[in-house]
Amino acid sequence: MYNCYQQTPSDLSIKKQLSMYHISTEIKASNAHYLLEEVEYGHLNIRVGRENRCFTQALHDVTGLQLPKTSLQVVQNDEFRLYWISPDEFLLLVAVGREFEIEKKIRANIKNTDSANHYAILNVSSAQAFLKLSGSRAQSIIKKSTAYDIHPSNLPVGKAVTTTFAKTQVILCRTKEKDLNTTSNSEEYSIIVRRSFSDYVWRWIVDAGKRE
Amino acid sequence: MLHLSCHTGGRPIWSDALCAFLADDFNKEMQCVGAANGQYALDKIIEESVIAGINAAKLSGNENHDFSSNVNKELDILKPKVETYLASKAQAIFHIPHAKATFMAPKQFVDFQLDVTAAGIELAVAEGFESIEHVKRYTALGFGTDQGKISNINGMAIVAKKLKQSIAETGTTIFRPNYTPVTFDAIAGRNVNSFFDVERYTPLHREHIKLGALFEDVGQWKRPWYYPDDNETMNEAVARECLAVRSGVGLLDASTLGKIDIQGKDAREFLNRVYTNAWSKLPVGRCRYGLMCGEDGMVFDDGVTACLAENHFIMTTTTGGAAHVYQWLEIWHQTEWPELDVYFTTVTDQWATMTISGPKARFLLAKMTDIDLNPESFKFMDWREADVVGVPSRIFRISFTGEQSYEINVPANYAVVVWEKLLEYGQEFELTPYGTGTMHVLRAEKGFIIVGQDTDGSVTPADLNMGWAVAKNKPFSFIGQRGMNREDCLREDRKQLVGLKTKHPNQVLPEGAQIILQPNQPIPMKMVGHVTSSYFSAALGHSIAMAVVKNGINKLGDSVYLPLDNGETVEANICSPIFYDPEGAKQNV
Repeated sequence: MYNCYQQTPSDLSIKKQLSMYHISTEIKASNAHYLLEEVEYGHLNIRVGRENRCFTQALHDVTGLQLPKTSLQVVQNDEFRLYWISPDEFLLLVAVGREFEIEKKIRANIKNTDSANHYAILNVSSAQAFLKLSGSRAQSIIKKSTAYDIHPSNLPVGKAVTTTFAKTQVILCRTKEKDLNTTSNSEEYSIIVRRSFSDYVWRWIVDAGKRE
Repeated sequence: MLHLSCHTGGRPIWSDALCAFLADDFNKEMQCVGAANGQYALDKIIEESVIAGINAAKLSGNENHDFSSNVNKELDILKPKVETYLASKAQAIFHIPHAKATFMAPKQFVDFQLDVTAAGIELAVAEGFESIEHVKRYTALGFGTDQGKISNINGMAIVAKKLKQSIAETGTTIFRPNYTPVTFDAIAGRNVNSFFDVERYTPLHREHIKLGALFEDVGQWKRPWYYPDDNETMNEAVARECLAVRSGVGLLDASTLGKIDIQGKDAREFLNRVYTNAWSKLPVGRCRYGLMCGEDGMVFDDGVTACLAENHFIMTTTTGGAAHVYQWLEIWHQTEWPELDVYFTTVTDQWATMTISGPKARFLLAKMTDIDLNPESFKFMDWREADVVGVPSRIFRISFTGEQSYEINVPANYAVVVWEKLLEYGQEFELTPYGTGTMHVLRAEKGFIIVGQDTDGSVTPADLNMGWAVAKNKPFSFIGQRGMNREDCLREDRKQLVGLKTKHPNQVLPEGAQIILQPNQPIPMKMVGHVTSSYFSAALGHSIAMAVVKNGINKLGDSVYLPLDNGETVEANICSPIFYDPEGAKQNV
């Protein structure tokens, strides 16, 4: 009923270029104060209503995760991370190369094959980039880029917010809290951005990272 | 700073003693100090400031600190030695008296920015405008860029005098942001130069740069425009690229086209409702072109949608229309038809799309994949899953050039490797990369529309002579059906899409040129349409144009005239907009 297939070549020697492949080799995104890195994951976009027990059970059987209980929440275990994106949209991050296997397993685990069982899963691993921003200047870079209140009381670890970032849109998370033993800002953030905005976001962060 | 209290809802109150407006007590927690509080003496300002600072610290939650008992101590520490002067009280001179009545006296300007005079203000009052807000609007007092900083108090005093009331009774207008000028660079921030607007790149952007492409802005995307050789002009490059596609094979990066993945058992029914044509019977493995209309029946997007599996489709949209179409689908689904089981996901960025087009396209593709390319089994408007140089792909046999054409879609992470292999295997066939410049000519030769260029939001499918893309007998109505069947949309003399051939084959009409039926008319001439697309066709050896002309479909063969801005009037013949291969044989082989 659905076209679900392996999008990764079986020949692992075939050259793969992630979203930031070119820009990261052209412009260095780090200095003494911050570090920006692209991290590769398998990305599966999920559209499903929370009330679809059949799907949520299959998801749990395969990943061990329940859908986030509240909006903006991120749930995770050792193998998977699941972001709330909108009331009926979620993003499942999996280890690189497992996206086809996981998609197939979830679809196969759905016991109720009644066509009324409604959901969508889609491999979007090429469509978006996962960026990790760390260093003492990370907080100031994020503050320059979004109007969203990133104070730890409003954006704690475990919360993911889809918001504006400069002139584009990202999924923003705090991934590491400040180390209270140091005076410097030592948080870490993750930013998920659509591929076609890669160069723009990379260059923007480099610009923002040049000064405090 | 009085305006800040107004922005939050306060109304200033007049102080006769100070000859000034002061903030009222609307904002209970607001503290005014210094000039905002009518206080001009430096020592008093410092004293007020210390007290206000201590209060503010308390209000912000630092209750533990016992500031209040230490006011005098703090003041002693902070207070610099300030010399004090005795200043005389401000004297009010709002309106210089004159022997003659104001309207007879020489002009007394009050608002220097908008030339409002004392006589003008008195006239406003005489006309019955008694509220200061009405006087402001009658006279334009305080509407200048200074927002009344120079003129307002004087103007209000003149109103008060004329109305024989106090300034306090007259009151003041209130202020809106930005009362204090904000510099443009503070607003622009870092959104300047290359950050002024987002530039979106396809995964193949660097490959285009390597090939010397010039880029065209399409929405926020940078698309290759043309790939000039050495000293070629744009026209020369486009002519070369066009001929290469028509005689050999060309390569286009079509990754920017919007792609929306559609899953769910009601996907077909949803497509039936948002497209004008029918989708119930499209088999798995096939593609279909569709037109999308607004409720008014006017075309706003088009594209090809493929049936990937029984409950699974992929829709393509125009490059610039992708976000709008996605929102459109979501809005109709969420607000009108939530009972339909269907989900949409944007996959524009997931897939890189490389189109090979031309009579040698299949020979090239055969070098790169093992799937059966026999045109009997992999027909025009089919799609297939394929392994292309080892990369899992979807190949759509659809054509925007009128030639045999394959759109190879691969996950964007593997775009470059497939592109490189295309160029490598393509050498044997003189594969020619082409850009949007050539794409525009090739599609116009075929009479294929570009939404937004040949349409302008006031064009129905019938106006485009594309009634074939409108289903008459769908069980459920579709968006635009009622709109396009309104009486006005069925008129015969609506502007309709036609082709134009100039009398002199080398003359390329300017796009936007107006069309008239009779030359030598007096101005204003009766305009019956305009040119929407116009190019020189290297393949045909003459210029071609698409145009909308009133009742044009019934005027095939007629002469029309186009008066140009240089005074020249060009004669052209109305023809079918399909200039090249009207039977469609070439895309079907």
